[in-house]
Amino acid sequence: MIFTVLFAIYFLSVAFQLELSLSHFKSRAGFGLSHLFLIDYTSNDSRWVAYYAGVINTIRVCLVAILLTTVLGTVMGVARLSKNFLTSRIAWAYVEVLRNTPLLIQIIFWQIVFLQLPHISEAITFGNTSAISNRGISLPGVSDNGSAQMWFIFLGIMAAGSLFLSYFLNKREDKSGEYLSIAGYKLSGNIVGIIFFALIAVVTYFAFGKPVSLDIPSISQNTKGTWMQSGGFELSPEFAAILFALVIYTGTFITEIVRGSIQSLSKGQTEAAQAIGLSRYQSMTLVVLPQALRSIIPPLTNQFLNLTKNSSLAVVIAYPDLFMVSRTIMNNSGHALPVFFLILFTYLFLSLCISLVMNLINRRVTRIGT
Amino acid sequence: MKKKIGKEIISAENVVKKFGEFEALKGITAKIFEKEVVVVLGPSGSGKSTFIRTINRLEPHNSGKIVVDGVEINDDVKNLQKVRSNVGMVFQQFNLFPHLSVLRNITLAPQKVKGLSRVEANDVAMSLLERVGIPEQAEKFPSQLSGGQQQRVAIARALAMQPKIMLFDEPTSALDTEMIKEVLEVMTELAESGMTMICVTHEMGFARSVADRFLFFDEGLIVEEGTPEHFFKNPKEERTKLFLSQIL
Repeated sequence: MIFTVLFAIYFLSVAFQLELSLSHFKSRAGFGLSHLFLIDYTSNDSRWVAYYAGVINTIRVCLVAILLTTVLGTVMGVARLSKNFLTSRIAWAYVEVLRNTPLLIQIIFWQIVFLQLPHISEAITFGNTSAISNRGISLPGVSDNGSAQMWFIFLGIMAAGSLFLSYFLNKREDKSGEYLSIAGYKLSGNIVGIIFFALIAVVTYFAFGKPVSLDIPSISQNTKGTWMQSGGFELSPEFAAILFALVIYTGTFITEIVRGSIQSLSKGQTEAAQAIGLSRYQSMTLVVLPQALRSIIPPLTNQFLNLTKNSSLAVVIAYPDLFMVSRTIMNNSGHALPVFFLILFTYLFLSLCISLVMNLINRRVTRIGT
Repeated sequence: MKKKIGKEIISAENVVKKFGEFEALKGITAKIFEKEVVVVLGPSGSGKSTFIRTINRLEPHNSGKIVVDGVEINDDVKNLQKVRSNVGMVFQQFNLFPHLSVLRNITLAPQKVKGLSRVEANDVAMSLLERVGIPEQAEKFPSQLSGGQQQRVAIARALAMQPKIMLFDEPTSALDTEMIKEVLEVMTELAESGMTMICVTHEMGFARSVADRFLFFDEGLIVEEGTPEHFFKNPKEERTKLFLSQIL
């Protein structure tokens, strides 16, 4: 009894002595980072900037992976139920092979694959439009001429405006049957919205003084004979490897979710859709998938969260995500515990954000037709 | 009330359908004429539902030949879509799309298959909903309607494609007694308007008053066929007599 009390007192005293302050984050980071996106960082910046760069890298890979894996999973889930023997077998093999091997090994596998691409002197260039080598994949991109950011924000607002215009016109046509027409041709709300947006985009492109220009990657040798690569939209081997691994691994689970949800619908729905003359594609996209969505969304949210947390495995191929950057800070500073809590709460925050968005979508999907 | 029966619109020749080893249809040969109302009778498992489902290829037949309105039914997708938009079908379980409003259930196919504009499709849908007597339910979702109302929406949905032929697969079997009447009224009105109809049903009163011809199925074959008078007054086959004695 006395021993327990003594232990409790000792435990509490240790707990209160713990250094949980993050004040050391203000000091100089002192290490370089290879992947920088939307942020300028040098080793002279503070640890906070390094941390932000890591968070941005995590968000970047997760967002792209979530989008791609959803598409892959949906396509494979539908393929799994295909009547075509080859299609359904391929989807089956994809699922069974890739969900049953560890993600860690898949990440390393993709890293090796991307490092096996040809040396930069023999890069695959597709007629000088892109450059694929073991330094990464460079695709044609756009480069900022100074006012690109303003222009993109403006375009975003205008896109919302166009959507609203389309919605308004469709609603009006629904209610009163009125619609716009030019020389006898009927213009539906969707077309008006697209034309409006395209016009605005073209006009403001010149009004902003050509804010972006096409940027084609180029490869050259400098005077010392070193190969240089510049320009374009670059996909590094590390980013590509972690992206591929996350997309393909999580895609297997989404495949099964989609397949299960489709199978849980009554066969009568497909039959009814076919009986009124819809094609297979139409009955899938207009009748089956919208209904399957209800039971897809909750487990899909789980997979998105898994993907986000699994992205911390990027540390093994040195992709500087949140986890790797924080680990480096932890080592450099010697303050392990506060950094650990920071990592924890950052992942928690990211996960909660995803949950929030998915719950909103879920609410919208389940509200219809009940 | 006898209406004029037109030319042949469906012909089935020696149609065989197998589910694995089991032969559901063992060689059905039948002809259906325009504006004719044919009622298909038979004990359960006799292949009557399977037969009408082969007509729009919800069940592909294994051998034999089915020609609907001059188009042979086979694997050709183009033909199939043509046939399916000419043949409306009403199911036992309604099979309305629960995620779409009543109006959208009806306008879906006219918009997506026939390319009607939203307003045109809405007009068609509203006039059909009036025809089946529930125009006020247009904005509701299927789950908010009673069974009888849902089946009437299903009939309107099938009619929206302006089919030449309507297939009814036990349309009242999943309904409560008081709702059967409202569905049968719609079907009777449809029959009187000159629609070609094939109905699988156990509603003998309806069958007797509306049918031009009966087909009696048993064990995957048409055992007997004839007019209602022939059927109810002096059926020839033992199996028909047995079935009628059980059901009447």
